[in-house]
Amino acid sequence: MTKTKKDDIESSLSELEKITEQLQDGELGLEKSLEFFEAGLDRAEKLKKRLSEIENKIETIKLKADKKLGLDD
Amino acid sequence: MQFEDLVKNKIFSVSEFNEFLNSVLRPLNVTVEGEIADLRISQNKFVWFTLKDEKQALSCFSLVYRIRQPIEEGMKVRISGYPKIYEKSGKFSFIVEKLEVSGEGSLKRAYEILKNKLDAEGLFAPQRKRTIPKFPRTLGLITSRGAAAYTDFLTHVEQRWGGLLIQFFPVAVQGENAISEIVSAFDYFNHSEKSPDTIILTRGGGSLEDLKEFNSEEIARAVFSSKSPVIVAVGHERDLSLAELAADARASTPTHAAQLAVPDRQQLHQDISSTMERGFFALQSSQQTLRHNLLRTTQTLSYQIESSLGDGRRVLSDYIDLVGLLRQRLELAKNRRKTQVEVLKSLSPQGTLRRGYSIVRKSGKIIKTSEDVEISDSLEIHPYQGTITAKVTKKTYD
Repeated sequence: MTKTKKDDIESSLSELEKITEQLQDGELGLEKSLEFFEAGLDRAEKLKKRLSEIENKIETIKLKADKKLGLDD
Repeated sequence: MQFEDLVKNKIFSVSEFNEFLNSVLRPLNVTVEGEIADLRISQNKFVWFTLKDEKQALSCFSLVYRIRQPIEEGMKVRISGYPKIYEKSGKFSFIVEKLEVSGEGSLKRAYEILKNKLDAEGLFAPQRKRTIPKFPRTLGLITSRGAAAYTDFLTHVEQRWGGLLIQFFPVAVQGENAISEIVSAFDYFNHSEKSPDTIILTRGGGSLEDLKEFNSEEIARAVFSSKSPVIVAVGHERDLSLAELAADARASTPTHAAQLAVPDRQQLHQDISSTMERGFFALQSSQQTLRHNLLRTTQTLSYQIESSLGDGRRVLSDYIDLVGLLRQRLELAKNRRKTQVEVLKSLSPQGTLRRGYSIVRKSGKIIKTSEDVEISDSLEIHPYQGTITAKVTKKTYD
């Protein structure tokens, strides 16, 4: 299961869903089930960690060439 | 007046007079409002029309690229430009540098014409709409800094999600510079090294007049050509603006735009928890199934062992029976052999000797009658044990 930095949360979430589905299928042995459940916990922890990020950074773009950025409205 | 002094007593040639007039007229930059009549467009480049009010008319000339929007006869417009005399024909014309549709009815009509045109081009086609990323890292925000839309959007984004980089490109959302600034914002994001995951173009609601920039062809095309998916949010009650129609997603308010742009961490928290719960239940139930299976398997196994053990017992007892039979037979055979040996023993000469008989030989020859010997013969007597040598002293013959 590879992950790209950009959408790690999306892939973690879909991995978690997939893991859960496989657990629900009941086709896995107990040992595998435990392994999968642990992998699921790991994903959930990562996701919750990402959810705990509160701050947003705002960066205002100023165009040097553009001299007429007005403030309307 | 100075003009009067200047021209008094002066004789102009025609060319001089026309040039003089134009030099006087050219600095007059005026705006005139009226209704379009006798509209003529040539080579998709030159535009002629007459601007009228109830009583009078003004002949106008412009270029298609300056008009920037669809016009038709009967439309109420405001034209800005200057008057001019054509040197060659001497005809008077108003050179239109800028044209704005004015009045609700005409704006509506212009909106309809442009909407149909862009629709026919496929700018609003549902199959061209892209999905808004669920978990963006960067947002491009295009709006006016002072607008309520700016605050509303950011407040709701803040409430819902964190860890974002919001690239805010301040623009005028209304007025003279709105179109060029909004277009250059899209241009900036399209050419920036890392285009944002989603772009949000938003402003508060307003009249058709207020929203006319959002109904412009330039902005509709800028939205349509954006590299990043675009959410357009304009608070309004009536028709959707063309910018919204061209957007990948439209939101009814800036708050709604925030909901479309970023997930809600509380909701997601719940989703994750409930997914984990489902996983846990599944694990539990597979454990139970396993336990049940184990129990059943154990029972089956013990039944099988039991039953194969039963088979073994039967084999063992058969074996034991067989061994008994063989032993009996062996005993019988032994007894039989013993009797035979006894019989054989009793039949041998030794047996007879043991019972007290002796064998008498003369020179190794067994003596069966007295006639076989003479007096003084030396005889060997063989009893059961040992040998006796004897001399014949008497013999009878019966």
